[in-house]
Amino acid sequence: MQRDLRERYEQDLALVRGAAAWLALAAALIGLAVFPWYAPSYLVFTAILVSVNAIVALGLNLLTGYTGQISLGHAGFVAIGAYTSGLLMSKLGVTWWLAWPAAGIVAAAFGFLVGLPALRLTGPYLVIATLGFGIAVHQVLTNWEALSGGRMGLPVPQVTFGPAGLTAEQRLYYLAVGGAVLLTWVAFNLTRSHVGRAFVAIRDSDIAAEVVGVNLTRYKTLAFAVSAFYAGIAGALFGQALRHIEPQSFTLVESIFYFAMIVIGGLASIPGALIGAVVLTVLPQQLTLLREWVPLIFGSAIILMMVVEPKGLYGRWLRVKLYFRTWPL
Amino acid sequence: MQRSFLQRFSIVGLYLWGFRISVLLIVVWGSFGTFQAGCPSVFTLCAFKSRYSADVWLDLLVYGLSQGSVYALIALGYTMVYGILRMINFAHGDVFMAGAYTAYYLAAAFGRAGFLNRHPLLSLAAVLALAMITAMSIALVLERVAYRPLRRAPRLIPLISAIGASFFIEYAFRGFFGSGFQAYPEWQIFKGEWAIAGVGILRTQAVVIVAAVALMVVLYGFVMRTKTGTAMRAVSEDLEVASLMGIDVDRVIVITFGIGGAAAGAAGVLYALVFKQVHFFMGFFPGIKAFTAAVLGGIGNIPGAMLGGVFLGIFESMGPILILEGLRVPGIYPGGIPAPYQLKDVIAFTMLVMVLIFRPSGILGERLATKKA
Repeated sequence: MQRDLRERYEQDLALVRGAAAWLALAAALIGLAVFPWYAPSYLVFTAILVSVNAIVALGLNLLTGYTGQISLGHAGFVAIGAYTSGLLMSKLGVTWWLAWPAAGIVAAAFGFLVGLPALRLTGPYLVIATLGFGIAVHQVLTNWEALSGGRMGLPVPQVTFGPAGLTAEQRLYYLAVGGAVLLTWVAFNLTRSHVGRAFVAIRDSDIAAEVVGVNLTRYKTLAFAVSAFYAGIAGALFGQALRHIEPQSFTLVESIFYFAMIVIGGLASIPGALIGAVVLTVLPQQLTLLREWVPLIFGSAIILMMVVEPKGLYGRWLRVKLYFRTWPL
Repeated sequence: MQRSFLQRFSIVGLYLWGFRISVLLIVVWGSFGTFQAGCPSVFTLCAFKSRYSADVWLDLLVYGLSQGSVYALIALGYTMVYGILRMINFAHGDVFMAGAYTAYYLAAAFGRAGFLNRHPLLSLAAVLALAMITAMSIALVLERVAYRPLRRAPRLIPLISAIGASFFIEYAFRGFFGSGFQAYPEWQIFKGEWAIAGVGILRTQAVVIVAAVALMVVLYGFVMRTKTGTAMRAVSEDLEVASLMGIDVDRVIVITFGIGGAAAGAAGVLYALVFKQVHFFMGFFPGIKAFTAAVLGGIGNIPGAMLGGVFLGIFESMGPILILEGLRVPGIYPGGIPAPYQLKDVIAFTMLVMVLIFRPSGILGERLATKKA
């Protein structure tokens, strides 16, 4: 029983199909909009962190899930974004709506530079190279005190935005969630365009992709740049959320966390990245008793996912849905 | 079609050439700066008369050798597994840590009982044996749980699983044994120096070099002379044909993981002998460096891994002073970079990226692209 028969090209292009889906989307958006009015403050803060991580996970999934280039240095891009916006705002007094896109662009430039050697490196070698990049960023930020404030960190000035009735947390909530929704929409459209198809072609076989006319140099570096742009924006938001950034927030462990998000949520799927970000941000906060063991749980979850369900939680959800669609059979 | 020079000119090529030339310039400028420090004229080299005497260089060499032989032992595990499965065992550095960490408890118990100094060689052998057995068992469990179910999956999948496994082992050890540093007990007999051929050599370093070399000789003999070793080489040559010839491939893979794990466990104890402490994260950097060593020597190549390890150890111990000490950056560091020794990880990483970009086949290896990729 196939309910959504598509007769025209426009129908095929539609991102949201059918009244029920529109209703669900509207409900979700309204729910997100009124959430900070009713939820307690700590939940609002958690929601901000979830959106920050969701943006990183979306970008990383574009790179790892769609293009097949593993990056274990994403915390480095997040750090670059956080420090760019933090320095622009605190040292030069730039407003946030200029500093945040600038953070994304600077991170994207670094993504482009990391992407260039990646043209010669595949698989494990790329993992090591990106890992080295992440560690190098951390080392530079720790040791170059004139720039970053060293281990003491860098205070980030408060953003003023929106109507006066809002608390600082609510303002930031709207910015973070709005940014996450916008970037999710961008990611959906990117993956449906020729760019997204080029990414998938490179992942499946870069030689075959080159033969059918995909410019590897352009698309691999583009994937790195876009992914780093997402991470940079997330970094700017993260700095604003904590109001204080220090190199210790951007270590290898964070990179592996971002990686775990997309693997557990679902590689090469946008809902998967969002699910992964929610699960891996909320779970450690709820499991306060098991705090020491959280990385261990994630490590085993990565192995388990690879062995049992390589498509992640979202893939499992699709299977369950498919099972019930044809249920009595 | 023959393309003209301008057509072959690409941005990537330009970028890589720029990178190559700048690294080369830094190395030349830095070593020149070190060698002519304190010399009367810019054009004379008088290294051995200036800041560092020949003795200092010799000490660095021996230190590099001991460090390098530990890297070589770890690198063997990477290279053997790669040779057979075409896969990088990312958790290998943590297997190394596991060996050192578990053996620490035995060594500490021996230390308290005084057994350590009454029977130094016996206790060292016992500690080594425990480390090797633990590391071997962990490597075998890892193979069974995290890698074997994925053997037919695309290459990215076992890699991701290995990253998860590495994270798992690290944090399991942190959870069970705490996140602090544990001080390894010291053998009295290994304190101080031995004079070998008129040169004073730290005893721990001599022990490390001798033990590592002995283990490598045994291992090399095993791979080259025994029937199982021949089977291993056959499987790494061509897995399918080897299985057609009646070789039990699963058994060979298990043995490879076991031997690699045992070598890593022994390396862990030797590493702890030099640095005198263990920590749940200690496997990470040696793991990466051993991987560098394996790539440097040509991955999949056993003598290459040994050579690469020793070379990397020496380069890492002499490099910072040789290159960075004399690297005078006008305006910022007029007298050369301060505390160059803290940058030895940077040197190792730079070297890895350089090798990967410019000679991915390593010193002794065949080209990666032509190998069954």
